[in-house]
Amino acid sequence: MKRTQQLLGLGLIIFLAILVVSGPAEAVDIGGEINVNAGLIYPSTGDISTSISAEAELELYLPTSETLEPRLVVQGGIRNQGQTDFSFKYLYLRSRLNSSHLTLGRQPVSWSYGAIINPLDFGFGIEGLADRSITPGIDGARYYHSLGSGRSFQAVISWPDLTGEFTDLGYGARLRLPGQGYDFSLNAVSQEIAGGRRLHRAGMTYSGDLGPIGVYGTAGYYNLHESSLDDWIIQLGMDYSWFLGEFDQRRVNIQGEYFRFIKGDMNLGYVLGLAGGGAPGTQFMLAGQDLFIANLSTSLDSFTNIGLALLKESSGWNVVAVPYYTSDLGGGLEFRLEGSLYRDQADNISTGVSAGMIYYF
Amino acid sequence: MLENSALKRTVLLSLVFLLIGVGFIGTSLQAQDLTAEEIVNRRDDNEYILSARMEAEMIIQKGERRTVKEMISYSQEGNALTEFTNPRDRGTKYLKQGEELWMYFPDAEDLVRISGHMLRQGMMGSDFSYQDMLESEQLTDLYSFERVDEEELNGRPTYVIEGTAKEGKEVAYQQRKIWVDQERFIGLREELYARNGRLLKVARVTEVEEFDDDRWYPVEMVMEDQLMENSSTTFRIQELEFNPEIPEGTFSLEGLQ
Repeated sequence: MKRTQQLLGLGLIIFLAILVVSGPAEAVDIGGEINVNAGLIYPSTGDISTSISAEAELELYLPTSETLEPRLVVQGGIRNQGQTDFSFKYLYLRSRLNSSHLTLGRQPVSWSYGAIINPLDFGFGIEGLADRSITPGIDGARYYHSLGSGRSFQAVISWPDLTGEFTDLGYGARLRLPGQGYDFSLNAVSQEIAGGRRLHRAGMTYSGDLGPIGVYGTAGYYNLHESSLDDWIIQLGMDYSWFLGEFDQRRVNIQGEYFRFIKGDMNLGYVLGLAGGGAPGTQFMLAGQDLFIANLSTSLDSFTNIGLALLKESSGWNVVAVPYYTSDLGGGLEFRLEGSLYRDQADNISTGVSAGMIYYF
Repeated sequence: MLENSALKRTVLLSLVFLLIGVGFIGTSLQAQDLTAEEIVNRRDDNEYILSARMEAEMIIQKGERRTVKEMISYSQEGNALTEFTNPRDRGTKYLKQGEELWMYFPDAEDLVRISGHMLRQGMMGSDFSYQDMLESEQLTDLYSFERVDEEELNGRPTYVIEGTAKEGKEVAYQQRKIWVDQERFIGLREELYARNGRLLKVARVTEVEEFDDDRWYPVEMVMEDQLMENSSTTFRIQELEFNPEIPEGTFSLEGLQ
């Protein structure tokens, strides 16, 4: 850990030194958000617990040149009894050359195609579930090359631990081939997971339109290195919206997707925790053979949204329901109220509620 | 269904993506002899610009509550790029390539294609849908127009034109009433009606500006939702440059990655 800190410190010094010598100084802008949140959890055991936290994210919008782009985002928080944490969310340098670029450092790697959960992403991100998204930061190097007409190739090497062994490195590649009316990708990833094991994943993703309905899906293959454990995966998803009200003034949106391991030998638990990208509070849902996710939302006006997110496994009848309400209060301030209800297969029910304010600046 | 597109197409969309512009051709024609369709076409014909750069803000207001979206837009020959710069949405970009629309998420640094029904959703929580940005049909293709009056509006002589949706055309507003400046051919006011005749929205141009090439352009307008009390959205252009130098690759997916 100490060694890792030393390397991070050294990396930051090099990062700043390159910035200083790479060009004339320009004004640095600062932006970010502050999030204050309080929650109550009432588990099936009956012991009510509370949580209070304050988190901040700060981005320095550093000067860029035609060939060099730095990015520095720090995050930190205070929780419950005063525990604090601080980390670099992103800290990288990107070097551009004609139709390609190379990014070195802690960076977001997202291979989105519109799904809430992407089982062939390099990390494990969540998109638009209960109005929230999570993109894990990857420590590594990423090479992007444009193939023209929107098509591209990416290759990623990640190192989960700066002091780790060469065999700990993760590898991934994405060939993205969008066309008129659709987006198609071929992805392949090999990464270390918990227990020092290596997981290989490969497959394809697609998104497009079927009449008025947005459709997307994934087909792929998972294999645990040096074991007989493997499985095929499939994901089918759709999104649709319609109008309510006398004058069609209210739009309702629904997105639903179903994910399944065909053989049932593996589960999403294998990819949980990749670069810390698990969704808080939902980990227990992701260890089954399949998972159904739905998100229903509507806007009450230009400032306020309400919605309901549902996660359900078919095997154990575990269900998570998350109703949520968000409201833009103006002046950069946003209010969020969220509930949660979890019922397991033994009919134990846990509930929770949280309220928070986010200030954007 | 062309949800919410009519008003926005003719007025507000022009400020978001610069798909349209308002030009002043001159008043040498015998304006008094123009038919309703000719007036609308004069306006429509003026409302297309080849290339522009704009800095603007969109102020969404309901009662005392108010939120501001700021943006920089480029447009060129049917392609457009808008980047939001206000703190809440900073770095979020929309890229329009012909009929395709892509959204760039700055936190994930990734692009997602906006598809089908999503195009009818409000952009960034506003009243302006993605489809408004893509809409390019001429008003005269969707509505039958007739001249009903001539009025003075805010000191300007205007033609008052009424449009009724043509049979078989899917439009958000069954009827529309437009006040067109007789000299500048800018729509100064527009009322949008439901099938049952109820007034749904009113758009008002509150400021116009003359640019170097004798081109008049609306630089501030307000849209009021008649179904929601004290609800309005204001578009204000802060900087506008016609035919600017736009870097190569600005409208490509590669340019966003």
